[in-house]
Amino acid sequence: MKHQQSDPVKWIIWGLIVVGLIWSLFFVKNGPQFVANGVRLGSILMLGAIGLSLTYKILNFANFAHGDILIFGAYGAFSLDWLFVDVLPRLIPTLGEADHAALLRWIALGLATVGGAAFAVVLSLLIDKVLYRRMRRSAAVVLVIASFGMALFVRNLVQAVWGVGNRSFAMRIRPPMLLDVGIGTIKLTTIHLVTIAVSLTLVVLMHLFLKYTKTGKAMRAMSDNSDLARVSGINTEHMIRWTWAIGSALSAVAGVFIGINFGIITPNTGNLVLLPLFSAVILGGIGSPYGAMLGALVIGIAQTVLVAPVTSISSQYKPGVAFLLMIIMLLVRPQGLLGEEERRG
Amino acid sequence: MPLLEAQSITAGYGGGDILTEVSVRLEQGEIVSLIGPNGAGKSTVMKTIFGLLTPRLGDVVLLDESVKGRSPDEIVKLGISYVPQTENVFPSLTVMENMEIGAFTRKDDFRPRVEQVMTLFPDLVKFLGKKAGALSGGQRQMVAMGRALMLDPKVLMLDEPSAGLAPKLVDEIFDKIKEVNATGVSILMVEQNAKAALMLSDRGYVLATGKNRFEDTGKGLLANAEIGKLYLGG
Amino acid sequence: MLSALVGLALLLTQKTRSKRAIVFWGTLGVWVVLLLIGEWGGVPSDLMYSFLTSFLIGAGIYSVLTLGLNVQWGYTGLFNIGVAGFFGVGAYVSTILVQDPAKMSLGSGLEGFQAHYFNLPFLVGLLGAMGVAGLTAIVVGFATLRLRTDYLAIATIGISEILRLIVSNEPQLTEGTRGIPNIPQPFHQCIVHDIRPKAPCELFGWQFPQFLDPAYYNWFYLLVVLAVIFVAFLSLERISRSPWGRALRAIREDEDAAQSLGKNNFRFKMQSLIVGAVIMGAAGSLWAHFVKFVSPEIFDPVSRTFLIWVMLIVGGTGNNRGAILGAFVMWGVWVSTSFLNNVLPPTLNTPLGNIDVAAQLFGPLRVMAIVVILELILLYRPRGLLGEEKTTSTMHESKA
Repeated sequence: MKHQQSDPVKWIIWGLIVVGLIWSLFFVKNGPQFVANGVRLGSILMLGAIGLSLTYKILNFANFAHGDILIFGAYGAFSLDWLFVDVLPRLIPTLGEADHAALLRWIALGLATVGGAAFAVVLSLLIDKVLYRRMRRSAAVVLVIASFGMALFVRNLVQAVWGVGNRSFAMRIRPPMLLDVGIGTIKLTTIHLVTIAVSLTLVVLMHLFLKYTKTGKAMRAMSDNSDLARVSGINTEHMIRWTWAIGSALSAVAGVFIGINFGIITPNTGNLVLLPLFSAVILGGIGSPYGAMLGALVIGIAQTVLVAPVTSISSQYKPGVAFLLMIIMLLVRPQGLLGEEERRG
Repeated sequence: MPLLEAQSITAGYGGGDILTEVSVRLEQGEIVSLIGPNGAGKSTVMKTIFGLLTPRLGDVVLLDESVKGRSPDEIVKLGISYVPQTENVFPSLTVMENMEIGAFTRKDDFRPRVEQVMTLFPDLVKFLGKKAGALSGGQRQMVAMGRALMLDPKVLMLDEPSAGLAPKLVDEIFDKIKEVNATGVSILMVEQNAKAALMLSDRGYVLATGKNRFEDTGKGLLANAEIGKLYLGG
Repeated sequence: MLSALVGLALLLTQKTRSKRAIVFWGTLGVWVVLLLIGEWGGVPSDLMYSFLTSFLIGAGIYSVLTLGLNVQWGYTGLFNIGVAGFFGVGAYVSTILVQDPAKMSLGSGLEGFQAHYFNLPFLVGLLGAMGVAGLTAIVVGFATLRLRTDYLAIATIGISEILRLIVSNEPQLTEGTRGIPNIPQPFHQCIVHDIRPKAPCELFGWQFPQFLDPAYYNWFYLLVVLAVIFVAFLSLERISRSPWGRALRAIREDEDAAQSLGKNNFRFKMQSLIVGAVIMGAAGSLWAHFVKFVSPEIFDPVSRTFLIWVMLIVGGTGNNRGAILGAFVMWGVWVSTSFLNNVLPPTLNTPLGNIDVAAQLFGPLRVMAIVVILELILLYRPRGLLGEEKTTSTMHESKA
């Protein structure tokens, strides 16, 4: 392993990011608003990307089913949300009162999100047990094909259970809920703020977990070298289950945020979000949760900023931005910004 | 009764057998080397003993108890530690964290043990907070051994500890191995640098094409002219 | 009736016992049985045969697609998840070249088509489709071929997505999401005899006899499709045994080794990508003229990429016969599940609420069934139905 050498490509990319940020903030009409929206999108992507990055490194394959598990969790939360909004006032009468409406909504949503995360965790552990576990030693391509199949399976499962139409969270109803916080020329709704705050909190918790807990350190060890981890006495299957659990739980939260920020979810949403998630992971460097966070923010801001002001490009092309950035990164520096030199193929 | 014994192991990776009826014995307190040409199956013996590979025939016995087929994390708990040849540290973890992972299955506080291990590798003390990947080759090798020692193993298995090191560092590493052995840890190692290994070893085995060829004391093998010609490069 | 008996006779006289033969004749046997049942069940002949031809044409076109994928993945190990892209490009190009603007509104009453059409013969459309698909492959190749396998997979998904976006959003070129209806069919005008008399086609002074009853046109089309399969299959078998084919296989087995032998990997990979894409483009053209309609939906990753992968894996990666067999088998699974849709009512009343049968039952269950088949094959018979056991396995790594 080389000592840190000067790495011009890396610095050029960092430079471009900084320049891009400055340009977005100061030289684009409504720049700060777009950047704020981009940060919001980035926060959502962050939660999804961390899990994807971890499973990619520790299990050694690109999990194409990640987006669909994300949306499965979101749908689970959605159903629970409607349920809780209905049931909670009956259990705790004060919540039923009109001026406690906001409280009810948030409590219901919070509980529902936890429930949705549980759904996602159970599903991903099940899939691992039934399928991926028997393919631990298979070549990466076999796992990719298998996960592509599972992606379709989960997507169609969602469609079978919940139908093909759009779904909105019970949240979505009331304007009185929304606050506008103006900072300079930026308008941030409550939902906007909650999304960023919760994402940030979860990310910080992840960091603390990885850095200071025994399991967290074991996961980092496995991410570095799973064979050596095994040789050191770590029960790698146990760690793999933790990886799935954390990854899918965070994804479910991301899915809920997509739902409440953008209004609706459909069975295909998971598929739509997969490409930006992969881009974020690759940009940041596979296996680095911090890289995933960074990559997600970059993609989030880029996707929001680059398409909006250039009105001749239809906003339909947004995912194309993520894709383009990813291709460029793969050609120029495949290990990402925070990844190390080539890992074993 | 030997501390550790591979009894007539026949093993392979599913394509064909790499080892045919290989037997290796390690007594308490010994340093034993496995030498031989490339592809002889030396690493495979190690992997079989450590549970990374299950032998088709034969047995692996630790202190009278068969451990064939057990997984590495179980074998580690029984007192055998293993240092692979390459990629034997966790590069993004600090040296201290590497030690902590080494002590993963300990129920008690691992820190006193770190201090003990650091007395063997005093050069590493100033690197405890540094990421293992940033260290030099020789330092990393020491971290690798330190990690393996965290569980107070009875047996330490080393796969080519001197690989890739400059000659001066090779001497240092072998000195360290001797020091480790002096603390009561029995050592089984595979080495390409047969001469240096045998000078250090109590006994040695020569393996070729997956079979036992010779077995003798370290000095005995060194003195053996035939072996010298075939395997020691003169 | 006659053909069913002939099939039965053929079946009963077969004596070979090799696994391949069993699979092949077994499939044929199933068909014969189904036909017989249909006859005795009183299903009208023409309905059955029209279904049969439609099925065979669909399976045939998918065979072509699978053969194309076999060149890219089976021979060279290129993980192309953008099959739908090349397919769709072929379909659109062929349509644009062959469509006759004057006839577009015929029968449908639709108006306001914006794009420009060339009204050229089918063969031009077919070749054009293949050419443009090949060009697309060049562009794609430059962007992605230097990437490692799983990165290549991620990149190629994006590509068919982008193509779909472009096609949807540029109505000037492609009518956008509305699609292009009433696509003409090869020689339809020339050989089909219509109620309304029309001028016969002329070729070198010889007039085509308009003999065909419109209901039987599909038989002719089937011949066209079979011809394409035939040509493709023979060429690919030839290629497979050529030095070029061997080079591709070397790259698939071990890229680094192949590189060190002095082969220019990139060039070979690019050639393989192009050849595969050209074949896929041909399939796209055949599809467009069969269904007579294209829209951005043609870039659907499930039925135009994933299904083909399953076909190839089930049939046997690397094996051209396997590709065709897998296509026929999986197309059978795909199509047969549509019976469910025809048999059940549009919505079912259940205690849990109304279920929209098409969207919540038939659609998802169909895909889930295909996935289960795929996973079972991957777990228990990764070489597929006709694949050979590889000496150097690419499906499993050994940790040495």
